[in-house]
Amino acid sequence: MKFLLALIVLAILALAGSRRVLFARSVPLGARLIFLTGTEFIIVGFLLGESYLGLIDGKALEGFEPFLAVGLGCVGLLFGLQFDRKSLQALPPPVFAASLGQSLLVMALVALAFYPLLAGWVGWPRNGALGASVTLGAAAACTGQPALAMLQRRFTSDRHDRLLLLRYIASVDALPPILALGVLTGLHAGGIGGRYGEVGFQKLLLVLSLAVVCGWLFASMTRERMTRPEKLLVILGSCALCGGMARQTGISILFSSMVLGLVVANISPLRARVTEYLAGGEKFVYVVLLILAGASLRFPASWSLALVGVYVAARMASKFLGNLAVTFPVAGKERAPFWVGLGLTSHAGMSLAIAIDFLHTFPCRFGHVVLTVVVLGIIVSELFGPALAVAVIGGKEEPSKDAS
Amino acid sequence: MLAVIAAIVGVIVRLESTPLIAGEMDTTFWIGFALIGAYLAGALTASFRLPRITGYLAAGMVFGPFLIGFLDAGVLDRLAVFNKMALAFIGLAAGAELRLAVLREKARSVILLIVVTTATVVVGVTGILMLTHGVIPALGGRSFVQLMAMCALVGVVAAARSPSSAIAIINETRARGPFTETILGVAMSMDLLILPLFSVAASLAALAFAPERSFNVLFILVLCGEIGISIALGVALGVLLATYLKYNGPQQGLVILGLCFLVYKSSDLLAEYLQTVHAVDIHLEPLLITAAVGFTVQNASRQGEAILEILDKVGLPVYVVFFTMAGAALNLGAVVAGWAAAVILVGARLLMIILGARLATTLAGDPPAFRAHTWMGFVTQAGLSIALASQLAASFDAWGRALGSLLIAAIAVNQIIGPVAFKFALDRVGESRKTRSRPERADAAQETAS
Repeated sequence: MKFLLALIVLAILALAGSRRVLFARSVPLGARLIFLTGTEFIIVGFLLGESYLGLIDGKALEGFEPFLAVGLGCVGLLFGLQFDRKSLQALPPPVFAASLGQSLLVMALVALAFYPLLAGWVGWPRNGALGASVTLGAAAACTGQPALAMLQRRFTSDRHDRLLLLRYIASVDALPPILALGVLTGLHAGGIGGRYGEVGFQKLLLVLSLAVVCGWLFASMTRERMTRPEKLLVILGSCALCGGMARQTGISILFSSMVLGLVVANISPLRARVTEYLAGGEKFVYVVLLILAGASLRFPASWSLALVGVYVAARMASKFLGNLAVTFPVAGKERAPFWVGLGLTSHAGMSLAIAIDFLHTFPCRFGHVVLTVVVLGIIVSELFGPALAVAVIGGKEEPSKDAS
Repeated sequence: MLAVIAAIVGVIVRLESTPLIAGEMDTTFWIGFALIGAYLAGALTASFRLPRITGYLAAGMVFGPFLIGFLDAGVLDRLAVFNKMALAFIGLAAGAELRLAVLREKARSVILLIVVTTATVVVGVTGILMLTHGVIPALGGRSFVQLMAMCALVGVVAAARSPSSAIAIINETRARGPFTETILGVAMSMDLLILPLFSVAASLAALAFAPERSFNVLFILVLCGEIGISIALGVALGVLLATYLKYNGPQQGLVILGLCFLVYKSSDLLAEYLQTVHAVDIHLEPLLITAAVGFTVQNASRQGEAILEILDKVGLPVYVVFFTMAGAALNLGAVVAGWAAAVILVGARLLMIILGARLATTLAGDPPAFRAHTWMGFVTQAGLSIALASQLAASFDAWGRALGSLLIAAIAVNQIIGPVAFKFALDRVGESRKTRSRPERADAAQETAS
């Protein structure tokens, strides 16, 4: 019976996620974006996991842990690959600084909102509350790109500047959160509930060194004449090396693989090709990651659901304030109205990856609560995030090509 | 590059005893190390015109518990999930490589090769071992019937081949043609024959050591039922997969890997359920199910080329990790300890395979090049043989362990020489991509175009 029920849910999810539904005109953009963020795969994983069907049980999950680490590694690597010198030099430095600044501000504001709540109301130990708050802040600071990418084709050219600004911010604003996660895990390298580790920063240094060496190795090994599967193998191998070391030392996998990506981006002549391969296989890795994260998910107490409301509200307020303080003055009111931050409330993949990374690094109740809040926060945010982005961009919508 | 890898490992090993790493290194790290190290080893063997799989196996042996010890028993145990899934994937890839049209054409050769070589190897190896039992400690001090039963068990395991290694070599060399399909067809079908044969031999051996027991016919019937259900299930899943591919469903590579995982896991769960709730010992064979899936997609739909393309895209990491782990799991200690007995067993098996294959190909009227090289495709042993050797050790505790170790030692040798021989054969008959003649390539292109 359980199996049949799971099959029915899987079939519905598959149907709902199929292209016809995704691009049907009658389905609201927000609802379609829930599928683009891959949240349904977390539900698939949950159904397959020990909490329900038991097909991916504890032992299987233990065996699959390397996949989870490699999946996170690929996400971090792909993100790091964006930051090559040439691409960065081509962009106006104030906008880059503003993107990072607003992200930092949003992260700090959300973390500040959550810390007293978790340490006081929920009664978590200080370290646990701090870790969870910073992670929630980091997840909140990231903006989902799928919604903005879908809007790209729907707007007339007079509003492209605004859309481009939003897309630009969304593409780089995960940098401060991932760096913060690296520092946070370095501080807590001995475990989330324990004392701040004395060797935490040495571990951080070790992971950084290995990421740099692996980046060099990666760049030296990848040759033009290698076949596509061979390049994929080297990518997976490098991610596993860095991810494994990060796991062993308790440092964020996203952080270590992002550093790997930064090194590859700046020394490999095949950077564009590697990015292309990774982007091609990204969905594959990402789906595996989501299914495994779903399988390891244990729904925590019902009070944690109340945190979802706090998370969404705090995130919206922080996005508004953060961008009002930083992006609005830097970009000018033509490109960025004072409420530009509300156009960045769409939520997606990197936030999920951050929550999964936290759970993976600290497999404890804090991690489960953080992941649950982020997953549900994404679902709620996608209901209004795209509509807010449309409002911020303004102007006329062109008839959507994909809707036809 | 290898020097850098070695330096990294050297530093990590030194740090393992410090608070920085504290304890055994994470499995993911070793997977990364195995992927890159084995890939480099494969590239090194390829530069000597040896198969890459030999490099992966060698890397596994070097990094495994019997030499350097990075991939120790704990790591291998933790990666068992991946290993089983990889085996199911390899079964699917092997099934997808079998084309019914070619098999029909070569049906006579395939059937003769299966029957004649199996009979020759089982009888021949049994005979040679009985004659030389004086120099094989594991066989000493037994009655004639017991000796025959033990030797027959070894003979049956000796007849097993490795479809996984065959498919890996075929993928690596991109071999296509009647010789390739015949070898693959035989290697795949052999599993169907070896499993019941082993069961019969094991039942007879149990009878020889405990005459009060009776021969269990029901066991054979259950085994036939398991095979039938496995194939039927595989065909049904194959139809579903073909439909999915036909409608260009998303994440096709992931769906195939997921299917492999679900097949092996469901088989395990079903067996556990039947054993605990109904006290029935039935286990569906994941390798057979996935092989039937691949075979159905290739032959009962128009998605044959599509599935081969997907398998080619996602296969390399699976093969590298699978064969590295296979190399690491080989008990090199057993090879060293029982080298004389292993040499006898390897020699006897090789001789009988040559004789059997020559006889079968001559009877089938195959071309001279096939007659000369077919035996080379049957030397490798891997997954099934190791599983049967382990089964033997577990079933007959008193003497099974000694025979199991002997078999593992012989399998280790066969696993090293087999891929080299098969690649050589594919080159010699002109079916590897490198050696395929131009007119044949043009034909293939025309086929694809049509």
